[in-house]
Amino acid sequence: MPRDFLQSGVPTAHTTTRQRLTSLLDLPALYRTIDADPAIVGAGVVHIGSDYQVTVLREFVPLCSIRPKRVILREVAGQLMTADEYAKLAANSPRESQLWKEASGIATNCGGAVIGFVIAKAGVAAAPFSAGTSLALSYIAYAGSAAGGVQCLNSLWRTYNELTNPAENDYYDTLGWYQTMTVALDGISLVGAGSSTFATVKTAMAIKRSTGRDMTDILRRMSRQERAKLTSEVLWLKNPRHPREIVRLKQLSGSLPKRFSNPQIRLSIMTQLKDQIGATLAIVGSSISGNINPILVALYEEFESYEI
Amino acid sequence: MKYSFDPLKEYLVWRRYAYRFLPAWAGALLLCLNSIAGNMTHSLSYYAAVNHLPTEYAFATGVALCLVFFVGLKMLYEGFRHANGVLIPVAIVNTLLAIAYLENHSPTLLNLLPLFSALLYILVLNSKNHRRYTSMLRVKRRRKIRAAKSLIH
Repeated sequence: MPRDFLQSGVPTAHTTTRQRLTSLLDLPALYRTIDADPAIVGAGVVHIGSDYQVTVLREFVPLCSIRPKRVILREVAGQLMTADEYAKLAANSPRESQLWKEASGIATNCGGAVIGFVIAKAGVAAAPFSAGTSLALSYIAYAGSAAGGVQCLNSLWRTYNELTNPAENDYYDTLGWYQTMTVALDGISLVGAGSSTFATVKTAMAIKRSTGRDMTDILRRMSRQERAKLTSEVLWLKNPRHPREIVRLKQLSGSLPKRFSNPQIRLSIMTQLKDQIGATLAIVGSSISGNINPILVALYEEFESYEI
Repeated sequence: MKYSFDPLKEYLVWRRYAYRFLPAWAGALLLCLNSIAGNMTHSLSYYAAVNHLPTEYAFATGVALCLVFFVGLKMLYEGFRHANGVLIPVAIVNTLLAIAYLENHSPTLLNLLPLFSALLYILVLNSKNHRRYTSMLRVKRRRKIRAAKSLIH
C-alpha cells in the first residue's frame, strides 16, 4: 500500500517477502548454524524466490575469507529434488529452462499466422457486411499475418536456441533492436487483430440495428422481412452518399440485391468468427511475450510453492 | 467462360479449395519456417562464429531468407508461374546449409531436423495435392487476365 510505503520507506513487496521469510524460517538459528562452521563464518544469506526475486537477508562479513561467500536459499516451484539433482542444477543451468514458454509461443504465433493467411484471403469475400472497408482491412490482415509469420520464425528459432544454447536467447533479449523488432511485430499483428475485431463489431451492430435483436440472438436464422431490413441497412452503410430512394430504385432494377439469403449471412458471420479466433491467438501470443506482459507476470504469482 | 465477380460464389469456391489444400500449404509453410529457424540456430550461427562475426548476422540472414520465402508464397497465391523459381531455391539453400553444418558436427536428432524438414518441404511442394492447388490458382489468374482483356477491347 502507498501509505505503508510512505511510513516505512520500504516498498511493500520487499517487506512482505522479508516478513514471510522471517515467519517461514528460523533466521537466527540459521545464522547461528552458519556462524558455527568456521569455513563459512559470516557468510551472506540470499534468498531467491520462485519468482526470481532476490532478497538479501544478511550481508557478507569477511570473517572466513576475503572473497565473499553466500548461502543461497532458492525456492523451487515444481517437484521435489534431491540434493544431488539440485547441485547439478545449480552447477549447470544459471537460469530456468523456458522451453514450454517458447513452445507455446510457436503454437500461438504459427497458428495465428496460418489462420491470418486464410482470413486475409477470405476477407475480400466477406463483402456484404463490411461496408466497403473489407479490402483495406484485408491488406492490414495481410500485413498482420506476414508479421505473424516472422513471429512464428522467431519463436521457432528461440525454441531451437532454448534446446541448444539458452544463453543466446538471453543475449538477444538484451539487444535494443531485437526488443524493438519484437514489439513492432507484436504491434502489427495486434493491429491486424484489432481491425478484424472492428469489422466484427460493425457487423454485429448492423444486425442489431436492423433487426432489434439481442447480441446473443445474432446467429439465429432470420425471417424474410428481417433479412430485407438488414440488406437495406447494409446497402445504406455501403453507399453513404446515395439517397435511400436511389438505393431502393437500384434494388428494384436488380442491380443491388433485395435481401441476402440466410446462407450468405451465416457464411459471413462464420468468417468473422474464424477471424476472431486468429485475433485471439495474436493477442495470446503477444501476452506471452511482449506488449501485454504484465498480465502474465501477475499470473505467475499464483503458482508459487515453497520447498526450502 | 465468364469470370464470376459474385463475392459469395468466390468465397464458396475459395473455401472449398482451402479445406482441400490446407494441409499441403500450411504444412509447407511450417516446414520451411522450421528449417530456416533450425539453420539460423545451427548452421548460420556456426558460420558466423567461425568467421568471427556476431551472431546478429546469422539472425539477419535467416530473416532475409524468411522474407524471400514470403515473397515466393505471395507469388504462389497470386498464381504467378515463377513462384516455384523462388521457393525451390530457398529450400535448396536450406538443405545445403543443413548439410554443411552436419559435415562438421555429429548428427543428432536435433541437428538433423532442419535437413529433414527442408527435404520434406520439397516433397510437399511436389506432392499431387500441392501441384493441383498451384495449377488451379494459375488458371484463376489466367481467367482474370482474360476477363480484364475482354473488358478493355
